[in-house]
Amino acid sequence: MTSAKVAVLLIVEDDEKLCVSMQRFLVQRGYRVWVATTEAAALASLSQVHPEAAVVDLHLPDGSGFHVLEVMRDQGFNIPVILMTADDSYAARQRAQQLGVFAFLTKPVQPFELLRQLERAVASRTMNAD
Amino acid sequence: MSAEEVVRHTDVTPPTPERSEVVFRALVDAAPCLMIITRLDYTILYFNRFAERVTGYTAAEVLGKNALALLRPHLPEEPLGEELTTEFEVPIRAKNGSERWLLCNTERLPSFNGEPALVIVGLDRTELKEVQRRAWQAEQLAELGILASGLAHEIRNPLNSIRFNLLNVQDLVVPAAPLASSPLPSGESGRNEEAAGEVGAILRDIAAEVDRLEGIVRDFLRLARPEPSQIERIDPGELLESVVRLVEGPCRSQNIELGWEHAAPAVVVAADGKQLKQVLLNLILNAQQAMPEGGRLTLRSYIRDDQFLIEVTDTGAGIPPEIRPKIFQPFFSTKKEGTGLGLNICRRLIEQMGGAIDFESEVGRGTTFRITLPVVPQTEGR
Repeated sequence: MTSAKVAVLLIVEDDEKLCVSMQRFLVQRGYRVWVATTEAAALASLSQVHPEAAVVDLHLPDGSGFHVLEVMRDQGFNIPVILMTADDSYAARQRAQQLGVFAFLTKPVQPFELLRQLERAVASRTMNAD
Repeated sequence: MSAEEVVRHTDVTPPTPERSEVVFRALVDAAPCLMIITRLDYTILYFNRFAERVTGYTAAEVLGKNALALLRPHLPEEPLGEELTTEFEVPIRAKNGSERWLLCNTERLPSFNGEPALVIVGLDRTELKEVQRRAWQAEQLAELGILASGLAHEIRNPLNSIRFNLLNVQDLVVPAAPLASSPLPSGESGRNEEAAGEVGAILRDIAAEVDRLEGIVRDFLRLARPEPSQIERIDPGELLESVVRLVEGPCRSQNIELGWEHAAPAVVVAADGKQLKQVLLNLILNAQQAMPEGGRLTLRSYIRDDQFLIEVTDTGAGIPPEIRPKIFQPFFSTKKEGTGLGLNICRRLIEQMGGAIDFESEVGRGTTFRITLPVVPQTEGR
């Protein structure tokens, strides 16, 4: 990791088993990871945990990753978001680009690719803050 | 024109046998349908011009031969001529090995050259059949698309969880690389390291299998839900060069001599560069797999009739005639681990770009796949 302090991440993913495995992997690599399995939980936790980056699944039981992104932007949370989805359709990628996601990863994501993107995301945030 | 006039204008001279023969031949040869007269045992007695055109055989080649044995080898014995006068659709095998579909009618002739005979009249329905096949396939694919999206979601999440957990297990079991100064493994710790190494190898195997499953899902989605082509003006020379650079190494290691001839230096084609590259790499991979003992792989590109052509030629085993009609069908594969989607995707991508893909193959000598793409006229520039 590039930043000195521990970076806080928010994972929004409805598949609990995937959430747990991803959280464990990222915690082992020095991140503080919060998890939300619904859109409602994700939006509620934003103001509580103040993540430096988010990993958001497109498919959520009570909404969608795109909507989470829109609300985040509306509420002024301008953090880098890595969108993660099994639906890698052309339309989904176009929409993600319009919403300015930091990275678009197709599931099953390569763990070290996610890690690389997260490091870049956190670094970009640190640079912007400076 | 009144009925009376029609009668007046009609030639009512009684026909002579010679004249009947001439008229018969002219009519039969001019007819845009296949006409074959056979004995009752299907021995061919007459073969009209259209029959020659559809089957690729000349009348001289087929007279006296059995129509079923000639036109329907490898095909099940369907009742050709059993249900006389009933319309039926039947596939035949042309001389060049291709399959043609005929809509046939048969009729008994009381006498042809003095013996009872059978007349077979057939319309060539091959093109219509192809259109129907594609329409059917499109329908199937639309349904498959919905199914595939759902399936992809259901499969990709657990696959992802497996991927992360493999690394989580590795974190627990496989220790970090020992320091250079640490003593050589011995006793208990040596065995532990050995076991850890084995676990690491097993985890890598599982990861490779996850990659394989993901590859199947990805291919399945590409087929079921193809992406639109982003047609641009591209320099095919540049693209081919990048493809050659990518495959040089693997070819060398597989004892395959790679040749490249680009005989269209200043051409600009309308295509989706990314998809064209994907197609070429797929064809090259197939060619490499057709030559497990090594051989020669040639990429040729040239202009013909205002079209840009790219050929991928291998010196492998060739494609047996009986499977040639099937190689572009989805899920048809001769490879143990193939999904049977590669060539189908290739054809769809090339057709999306307004091009075409075909092949020639000779058993024991090799196969050439040929991509044809539209050339952008020079005046339009880049």
